[in-house]
Amino acid sequence: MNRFSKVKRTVSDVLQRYSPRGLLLYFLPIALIPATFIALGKGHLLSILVNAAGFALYMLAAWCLRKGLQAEYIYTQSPLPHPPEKPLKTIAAVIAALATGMIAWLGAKHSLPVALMFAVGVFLGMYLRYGLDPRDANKITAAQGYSGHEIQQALADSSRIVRTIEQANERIRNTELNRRIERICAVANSILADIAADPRDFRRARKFLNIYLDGVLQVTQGYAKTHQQTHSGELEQNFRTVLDTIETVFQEQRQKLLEEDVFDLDVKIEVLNTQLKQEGIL
Amino acid sequence: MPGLLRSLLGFIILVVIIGLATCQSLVKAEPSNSADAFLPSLSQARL
Repeated sequence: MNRFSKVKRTVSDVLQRYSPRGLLLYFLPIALIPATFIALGKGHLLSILVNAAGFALYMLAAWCLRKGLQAEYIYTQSPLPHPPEKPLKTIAAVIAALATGMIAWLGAKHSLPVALMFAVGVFLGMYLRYGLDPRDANKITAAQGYSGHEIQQALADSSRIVRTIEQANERIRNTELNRRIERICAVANSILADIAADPRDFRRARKFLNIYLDGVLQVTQGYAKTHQQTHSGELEQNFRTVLDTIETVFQEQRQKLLEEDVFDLDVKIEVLNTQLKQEGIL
Repeated sequence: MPGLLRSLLGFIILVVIIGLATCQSLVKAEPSNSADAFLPSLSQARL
């Protein structure tokens, strides 16, 4: 079990849940509800089944579409080339097309070729309105004894930690500290993007991924929780000092990664490690 | 094609096609559509 697996859903993961995008499919087939009940009243079994099944398929397509849009949002926010695992938007387009074809053929009594045209039209409409799922050909390759999947997983975990830090930052009511944390997250994201672009840096960046991101997470969450209960100037100053150190080291880390200066990087990491232990963070 | 225009076109296509298919299905199921079924009885009533 990965030590970062405790970091689950974050604000960014659920942000799009409240977006109205993709709700259209929930409302468009509303006419199928009275159609089903009228067919029920008239006792037309085929009509009941077609209208009810069509409505259910539209709801399924709408659910898939919303999930696909959420996954796409997370993908666009992430610095990593990690497309959604399932092509949910494409699945939604296929289901909506099938439902429409079935309704047009068996419900509206069109001929099969015309019903197929309805289906193709809806698929085209879904494609134009929502697009298809993002597929990224630039998969992370194996490097330094690590498989591409291992590197991908470690980077995805780190990316989740960065988002959790951002989430904790939203609970801190101090603009100056907020900006410092935002800068740290921005540098962290750029380091992750650098590693994704050149996985040979992964071995050298492991300490950063394993120790410092977790350290930043702990100290930020701790401060976000504590400062709401007590307004201590000393606590704020200590937090500011730690953030300042972390920001400096993160920027140096990125620079060293770019310069491929392994020795200096490890020395800096050891220095910061000691400092964070003295501050009681690690 | 600009993104907004493409999205608008997709929206119109979806509304028209799904709206058309579902409303036609409703009309086929609607009792008023079975006016034909009433016509013979109306004819009989006139007679």
